[in-house]
Amino acid sequence: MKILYKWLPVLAVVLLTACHDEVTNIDPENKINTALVFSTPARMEQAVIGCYNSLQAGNMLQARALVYADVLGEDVINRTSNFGDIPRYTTLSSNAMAAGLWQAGYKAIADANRVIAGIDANRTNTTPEQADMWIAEAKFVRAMAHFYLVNLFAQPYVFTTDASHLGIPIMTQAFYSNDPAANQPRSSVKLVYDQVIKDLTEALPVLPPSYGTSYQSKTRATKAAAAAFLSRVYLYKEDFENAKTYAWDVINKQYGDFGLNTQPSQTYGANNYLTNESIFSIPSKAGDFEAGFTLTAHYTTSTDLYINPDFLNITINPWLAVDDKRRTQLTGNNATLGVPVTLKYRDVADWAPVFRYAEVLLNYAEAAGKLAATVDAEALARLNEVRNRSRVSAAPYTNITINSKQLLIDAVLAERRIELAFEGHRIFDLNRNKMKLTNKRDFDFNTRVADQDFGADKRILPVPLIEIQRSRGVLERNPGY
Amino acid sequence: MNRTSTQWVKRLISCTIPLLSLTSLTTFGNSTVVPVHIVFYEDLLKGKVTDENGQPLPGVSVRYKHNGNAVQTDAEGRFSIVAQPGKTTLVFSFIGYKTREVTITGGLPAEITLQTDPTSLHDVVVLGYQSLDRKNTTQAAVRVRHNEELRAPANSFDQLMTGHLAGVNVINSSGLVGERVAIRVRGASSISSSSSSNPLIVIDGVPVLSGNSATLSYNPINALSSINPADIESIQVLKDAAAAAIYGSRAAAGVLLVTTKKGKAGAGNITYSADLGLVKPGNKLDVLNAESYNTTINQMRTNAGLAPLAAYEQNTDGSDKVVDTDWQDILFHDGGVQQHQLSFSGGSDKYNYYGSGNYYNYDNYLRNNTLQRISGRLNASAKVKEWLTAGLNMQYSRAKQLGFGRDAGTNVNAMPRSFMTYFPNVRVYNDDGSYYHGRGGNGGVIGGANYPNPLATLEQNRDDQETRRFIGSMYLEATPVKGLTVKSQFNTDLVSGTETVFWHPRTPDGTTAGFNGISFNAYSNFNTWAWYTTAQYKTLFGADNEHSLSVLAGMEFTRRRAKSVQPYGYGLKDPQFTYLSVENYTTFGSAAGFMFNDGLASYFASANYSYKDKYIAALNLRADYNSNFIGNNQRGLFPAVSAGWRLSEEDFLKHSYVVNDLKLRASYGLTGNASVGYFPALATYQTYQYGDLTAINISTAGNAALKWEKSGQANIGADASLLSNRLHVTTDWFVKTSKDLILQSPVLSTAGMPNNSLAQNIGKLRTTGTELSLSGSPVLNSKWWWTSDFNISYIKNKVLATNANGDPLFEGMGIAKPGEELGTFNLLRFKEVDAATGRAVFLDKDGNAKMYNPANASWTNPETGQAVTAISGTDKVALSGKTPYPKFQGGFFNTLGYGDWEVRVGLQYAFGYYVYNQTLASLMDQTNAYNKSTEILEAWSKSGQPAEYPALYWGDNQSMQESSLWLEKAGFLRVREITLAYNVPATLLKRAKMDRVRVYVQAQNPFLFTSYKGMDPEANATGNTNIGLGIDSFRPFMAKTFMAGITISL
Repeated sequence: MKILYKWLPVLAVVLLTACHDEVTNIDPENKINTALVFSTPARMEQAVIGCYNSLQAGNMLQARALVYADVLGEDVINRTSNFGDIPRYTTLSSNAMAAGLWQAGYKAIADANRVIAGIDANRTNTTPEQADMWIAEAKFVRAMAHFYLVNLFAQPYVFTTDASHLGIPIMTQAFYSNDPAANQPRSSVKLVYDQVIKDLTEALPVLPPSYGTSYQSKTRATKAAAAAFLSRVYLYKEDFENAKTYAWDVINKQYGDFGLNTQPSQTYGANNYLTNESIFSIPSKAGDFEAGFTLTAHYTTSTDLYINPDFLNITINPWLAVDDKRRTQLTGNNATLGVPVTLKYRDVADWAPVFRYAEVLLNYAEAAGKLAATVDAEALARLNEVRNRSRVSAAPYTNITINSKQLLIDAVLAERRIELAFEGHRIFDLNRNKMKLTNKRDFDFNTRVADQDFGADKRILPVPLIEIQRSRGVLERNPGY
Repeated sequence: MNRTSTQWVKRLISCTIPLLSLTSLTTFGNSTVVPVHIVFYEDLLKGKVTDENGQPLPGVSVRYKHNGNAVQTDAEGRFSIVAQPGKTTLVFSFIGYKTREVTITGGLPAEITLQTDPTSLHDVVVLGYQSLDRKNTTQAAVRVRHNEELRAPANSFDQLMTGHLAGVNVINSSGLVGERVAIRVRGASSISSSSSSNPLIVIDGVPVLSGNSATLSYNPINALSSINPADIESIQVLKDAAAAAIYGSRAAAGVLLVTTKKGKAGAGNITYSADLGLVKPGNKLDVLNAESYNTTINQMRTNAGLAPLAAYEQNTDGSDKVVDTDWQDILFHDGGVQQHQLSFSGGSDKYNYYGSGNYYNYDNYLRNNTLQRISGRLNASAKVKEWLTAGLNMQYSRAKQLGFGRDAGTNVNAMPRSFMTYFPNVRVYNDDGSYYHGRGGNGGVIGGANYPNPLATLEQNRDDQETRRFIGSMYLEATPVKGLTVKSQFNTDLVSGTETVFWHPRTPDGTTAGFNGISFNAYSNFNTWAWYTTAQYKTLFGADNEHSLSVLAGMEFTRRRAKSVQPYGYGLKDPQFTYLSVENYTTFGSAAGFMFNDGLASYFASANYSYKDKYIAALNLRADYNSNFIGNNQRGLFPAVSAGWRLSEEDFLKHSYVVNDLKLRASYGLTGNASVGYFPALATYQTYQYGDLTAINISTAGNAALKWEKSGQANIGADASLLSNRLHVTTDWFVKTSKDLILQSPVLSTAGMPNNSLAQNIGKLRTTGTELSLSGSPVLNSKWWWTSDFNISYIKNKVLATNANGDPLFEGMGIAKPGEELGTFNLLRFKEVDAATGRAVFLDKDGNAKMYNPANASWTNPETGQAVTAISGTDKVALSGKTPYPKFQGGFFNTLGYGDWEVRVGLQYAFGYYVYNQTLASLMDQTNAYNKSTEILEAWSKSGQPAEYPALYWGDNQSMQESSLWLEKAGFLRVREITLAYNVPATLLKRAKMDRVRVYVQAQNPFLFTSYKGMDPEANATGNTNIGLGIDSFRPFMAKTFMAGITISL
């Protein structure tokens, strides 16, 4: 027994040290400590892709940011009423969908900021060129998120002469905790656009023209994507000179050889994601999307949204010819439900098109058209390029059929409406052109929703009530909410 | 009455008798001794006392009723007591046995048999790592130890505890196999949903996995269903801080100590028991039949000015195919339950053993919902040396649960929701026998193209879950010197689970997101090992050994790890081959799951002291290091102190025949909560997918300052045994304050934190309550007896703080708001149905009435008719005082015995709480054409007539929205069991050389008395959560079971 007396304390101490560390010093095997994220080039690149991943959120560019733009427009009808107040322009500041979009957008911005700060702090771990390129990609993501947010949550640039009306908070600082500096007031729309342009202008020269694989070239930022984006931003800003310049650079094959597909249907569907016409899209894959938060889910699987027959009615919308390929190839009829539906998104894991060559052409046409005093020939040529791909029996536009600047602009805008239908553009185009929103139908098609004038309060989404509350009043609410 | 055995003996008495002993009870022992030598003759009564097995009982106290003089039985159970004229009743009482009174006018019976008393105070209390004599405990603990109760066939042993223990609320949630059971010891101990309020469960020293162990979220698995209830000897619940502090760090929500059966010294024993029963539905939901459905739906449409929608299908000749399908009847069938248990045990003073094998099969009254369990157990211990004992306890079990196709009952296509909501005017099969998929003659329905034939989904989808579990512990106990015991025990709990889910392509789940046939599997492992070493020293000192001291010191290391692999396949290629592999599915991949990975290093010490068994004190201290926190925050200190005073040992009460034992006790201590999630304090990134590319994104913002959640509990209680141990009373009053609760503090989106929240120690919760347990034997005589157990507890939770701004936390329909009770319902206030127009009137947050007109979707002031702003989510108000936590709850169990017969009635009750009847709200939804509740026939129809529900109007999504209209006061009295049992008399058995044969019939849940109109007042669709409890959403009724069984023991 004496043996026990002697050895027991020894045993105890041995046991103590052996087990104590084993049970208290544990690392998760599926996570990496924040401090190690920017330790190797491989991880830095993955972190950059992480920014795109945040942009890919179901509430952002995988679906919702694009869907809300069309739901707020008049070309879709919300058959299942799942978008609630939004298509009825009766949204309240407590709306959960608006809150989800705001949160997803700012998550992408925050991730981009953290990547920029992280790479900047760890430049020695990689080459300067690589570091700059990755930072440029992060800036692209940051610009994307700011741009979509400012156009959904604030009135368009042209709402006031100097765009001094309320925009969204501009975030360029990285946060790792509940930092009070994250509580920023809303900047003016002008400042937001300035930030977007600054990010893109800085990124453009540094971004690569392409990546190792075409998959990556279509899903990550390239020079072409930045240029196409800039042409859109300047167009929305009504800085037509710059819009023309950047669009022209893409058209001129300065950033890569892009062109229109022969048929409009060749741009959509599995196997068609990497065509020459795509400049930048948000990819998807089985297991990588949130069920119910994809374009396919809304337009096909649940058919939450179907085409407003007025859009297809040639009396009301004579611009869309009866035999136009965009009608024959990209619209169809759902026999069970008896409604016309778009055929752009039919595969389960369909990609979301963000920048297409067709849009760049139209950006050019619109910018040039609005800039010139009379009918701009180049603008007309670009317009025809887009239209000729889809028209069958209709005649191409000529100087005679389009003989005034106004007519050209009308034709461009109408073409844009048809070409970019259901791709997340409609309300933005209506808002920036100060157009009245008419012909809006309610869930059951028969009831009409009241017309919305330019600048109507509910043509944009509310700053979420929960964010206003959390900011303790620093964020201002939108008028009417 | 056997006259010949009565022995009237005269004997010579020559002794020295204290003079006052014959006069006053209360001064016995206190008097001066006057030596008096008396010689006289007196009559003696002699007899023998045995236990129910015929074994003699030494040390039994025998005395006359209302007389303090007691004699004790000798080693052979014999006694002799002086006959007293006029005294006709003898009282026999002994530790651990029911006190018995015997009338002696006709002479004593040959043998007086005493029955074991399950609720005796004078036995051993198991408190972590040590056991104490109950009379010396100052901690609050209650126990269930009725052998028959714990042997009853049940899916899991936690269900058997309902209503038995004061302060312990076991919420059974529903009649679904594998359903999440929530156990609350003294109310909730946490606020956020990542912190469990379930107590720590320890089986023979092994901390076991409990709660929902399903990895895929479709059907829950109750982890405890892989443990055989028939092997359990007793369950002890440690309620206050002093009792639980020795488990300090995980004991904030109480501790359940389960002890399995062990062999006893003496003759070996082999027991076989079989049970067979019928399982029937507890109740059926009242929904419309086909005829009423057609009229009601079309009425809804007409009121909205729309064309009718509901109609029978048409035959080829244009006539109606009149069909009335009762989908619930199709779902129900007569279920059955069966159990076979064979166990053997025995031992000597050198060793003991217990082994058992068990087969259990439960076929629920709902089709395709079964549980099958096979388990084996071996407990053995041996005194290998004089000073060394070794022991081993282990069990291995395999439980197979066949479930439904989809969980939670909140999805339209879910089980059993789809059976309760599907169109009644649609047929089940086509003429050729295949399933009919379609909407019959009904018009197109809002809500998507979902016409799932519920039976097709039930029979074609699969959700199989298998759990294999090994629980084992091995120990060595040495007594190197007298009084010192050193013990080391290694414990392990290994759970491996396999889940197989298949969604047939022809069912709506199978076409989710456009895929055609989906299969998921999950292979998971939950492993726990714990190793503790303790040294305990017990000593008596003082002149008279009046000081007793027991000191314990020890350490324990625990490690838990759980992960899973989850392969999936989307898009079945050939319906012939549904097994999951890359060849059979268009998309095949695998995800990984990490459930928990943590460890604890604990160091503890405890001291128990008592003076003359009269003044008792205990001190506990435990220091734990939790791997989930960082640096110094890993450490948590959990002290507890308690004291007790056994009044009954004081001279003025020592010989009272009213008060046999009375102890007052008080305690205060700190306990903690260790289930805080997966590495909440670390700032981490994780890999994600961006199409084909791998991305890493921020996963947890982390918080290095995160530390232990702590609960401080003060408890004052009393235990008493009164009236010759005929009545036992235990009462407690407690206040528990839980602070530093880890809550997700909401953060601005612009900071870009995952989930826009940061985990911080900010919450504070207070629970107060009172508990009372009474148990006793109102009637006790030689022929028949009656024992009764009653318990009641009153518990109230209140949230004291949530975060720095006092923001409320929402979950489900509940709210955690400082100043309000936890889980208070937060709903829109429904005022009334306007009798003139049948429109719904709500109150906004300021109390203004607003009436809704579905015809033009407008809101008006009901009095003035002026337009007002619409009611919205911001008008929700916390309805003070309305919570899902019962104010009063408890049970009442009575057993009546007459000779060899026994009747037992068990009641369970709970009052003072509310349930949100979401089932009814969904069944009254006007935006779809699914079947409605018969309550819809009570909707407003005539002007001037008051009604419960607003007028029918197709598409109206406001009037029947989520509001206090669906909140019902629930309170119930449930008859949990009625049992009739017969013990074959010992005389008959002796000839067959059998020890015991018991036959019984039992009805479980036969009656329920409640004012609640919904499924079941205990229904809970949200599982083990703290704030969002109390939502009844399509969870099936609890079953009524009728059982019969036999136990044979040799």
